[in-house]
Amino acid sequence: MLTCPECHTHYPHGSLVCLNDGHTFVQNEDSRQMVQTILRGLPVARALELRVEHVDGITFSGTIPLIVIAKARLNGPPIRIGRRDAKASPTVFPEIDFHNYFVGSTERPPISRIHAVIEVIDNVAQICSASSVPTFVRRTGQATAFALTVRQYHELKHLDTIYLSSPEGRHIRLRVYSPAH
Amino acid sequence: MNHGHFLGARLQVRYTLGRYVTHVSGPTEVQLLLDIRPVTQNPGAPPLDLRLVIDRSTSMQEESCPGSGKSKLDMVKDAVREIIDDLGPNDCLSIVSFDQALRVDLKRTHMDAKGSELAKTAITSLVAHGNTFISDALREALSPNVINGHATKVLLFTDGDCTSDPVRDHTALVNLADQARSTQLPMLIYGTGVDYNWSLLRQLSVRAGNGSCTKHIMDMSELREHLRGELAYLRGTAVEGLEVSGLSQNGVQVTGVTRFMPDMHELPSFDSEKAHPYDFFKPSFFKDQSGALDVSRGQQYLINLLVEDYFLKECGLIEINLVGRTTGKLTLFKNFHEAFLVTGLFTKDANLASPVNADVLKIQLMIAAARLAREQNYEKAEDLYRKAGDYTTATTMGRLRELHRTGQRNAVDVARTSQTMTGKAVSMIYTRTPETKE
Repeated sequence: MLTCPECHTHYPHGSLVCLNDGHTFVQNEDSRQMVQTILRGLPVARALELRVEHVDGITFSGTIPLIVIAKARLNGPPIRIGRRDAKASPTVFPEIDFHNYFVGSTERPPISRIHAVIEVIDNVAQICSASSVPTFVRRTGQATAFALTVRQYHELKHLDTIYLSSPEGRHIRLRVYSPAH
Repeated sequence: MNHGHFLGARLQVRYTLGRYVTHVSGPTEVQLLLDIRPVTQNPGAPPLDLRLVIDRSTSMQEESCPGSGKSKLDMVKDAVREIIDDLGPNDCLSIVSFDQALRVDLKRTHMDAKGSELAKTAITSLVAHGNTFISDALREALSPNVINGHATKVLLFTDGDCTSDPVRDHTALVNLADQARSTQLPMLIYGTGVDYNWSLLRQLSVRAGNGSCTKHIMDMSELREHLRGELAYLRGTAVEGLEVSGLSQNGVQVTGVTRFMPDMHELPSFDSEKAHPYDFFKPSFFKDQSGALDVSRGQQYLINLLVEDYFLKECGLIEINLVGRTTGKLTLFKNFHEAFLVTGLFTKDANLASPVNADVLKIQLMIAAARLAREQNYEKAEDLYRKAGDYTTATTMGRLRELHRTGQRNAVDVARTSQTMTGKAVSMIYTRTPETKE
């Protein structure tokens, strides 16, 4: 707890400024040295946007809102697809999180907490199944989707369809759009 | 040929925490600075639909400021004439003026050569006379349907409160604000002098939402610059109907939300016992109907969060949702709904905590300065603006302090000007000139 020496108002730990008189609780910190900013790019238009040069990454669309992965992020650590579960795994935050789709539902969610991951290997974006609940991929033009075994990598191509869980049952369907097309 | 501007804009969200790594000791405050900005080479410059509502009561005949030799109404006319010259043939303009009764001076007209002439004739014919009754004129301005793809704004100029039937006028204004919110029609209200109901008009713009705001102008000769800037921002509109909401995660409470555009506004807290406001925050949630987003200003928030003392390593703080639609003629794929989780890093070791972010500290100081200015403590506000590095606003505060001290201007006039200036101060940090390319 912090107390303003001028107006004696109490503030929680971590407060920066007294809003009554502007007294600053920050001392001996060279804030100019540490300006940390986290950037996040979100193209708001969908498939057609990809034809515009500034879209750079892989875009999914389908039965869910658009999700965009910036190229810089794609080259970073694996991107996890799953659903956040604050009770069972409070420290796991999948980058592509579908927990909102199961809030309030009494049924068991069809996808795992960490269902699959996307990773760039040899400059190629690949999806890898990370769960015993299957991930299916259907390439455009093909009639059927095939199941990935656990830890099986599969190259992602433009217009691929990804099914999280079996397409015969409850599942989430994703469509891949690549900026190269 | 690049059709990028028809296909929609790109939205960039930048968030900054008060400290990159926060030391947790008991319930701890975390500051989150959110900057949402359309980034596009060419926003498509949507056609405009401006609806002017002009007070022509007797008081508008008074001098705009001592010694200027021009009346307030003359100043409004000059500013509007300049705006008419800036409008293109695809833009629309309508003019409604009022004293105790409304008069439609110009129905919605395209500003081609003939339309411009009609508009200028209508403006020239305005003569100050009679009492003030605002709501009928505002209703008339709000009534035409919003044209799809047009950036629409109602501009109200007034210097007086209703004198003939204030109860009926004020009630009607509240209903009209609700109508403006539901049709997503933003209002920009310019007030001058000390006789108009500043509080009511401020409430009106807060209630109307969607980027509505009220500005006080001490000297009406500044109106021209205000309008010119507003026109430039409107032309850069790239997103419409933006609604920003946040869902705090387990162990996190929202303790305050301040929006910066078009002027600084602290969202009220949700009170279940009162009629709750449209834009509000409560410990678990906040929501703000921000409205249109232009490429020059975007939208920014400072969100204050309180986290529990068990937070350690990387933890989710708040899930931000952005819902809106891109401007442009292509209706396909216009709507968007984006969500992302803001996470923070926490430690129990005070030595591992990061220094405070300079931007966040500056904004916090400016919010404190604005509060002091609101209490007419201009001297302390000046100090804080200087401490925050905003020397322009600090100088303005010094000037207002002198005007207040010497009694050269009415204290009410000075107080309203200070609120307009403090609201503008934070927003100017994030405003880029319309020519700036990303």
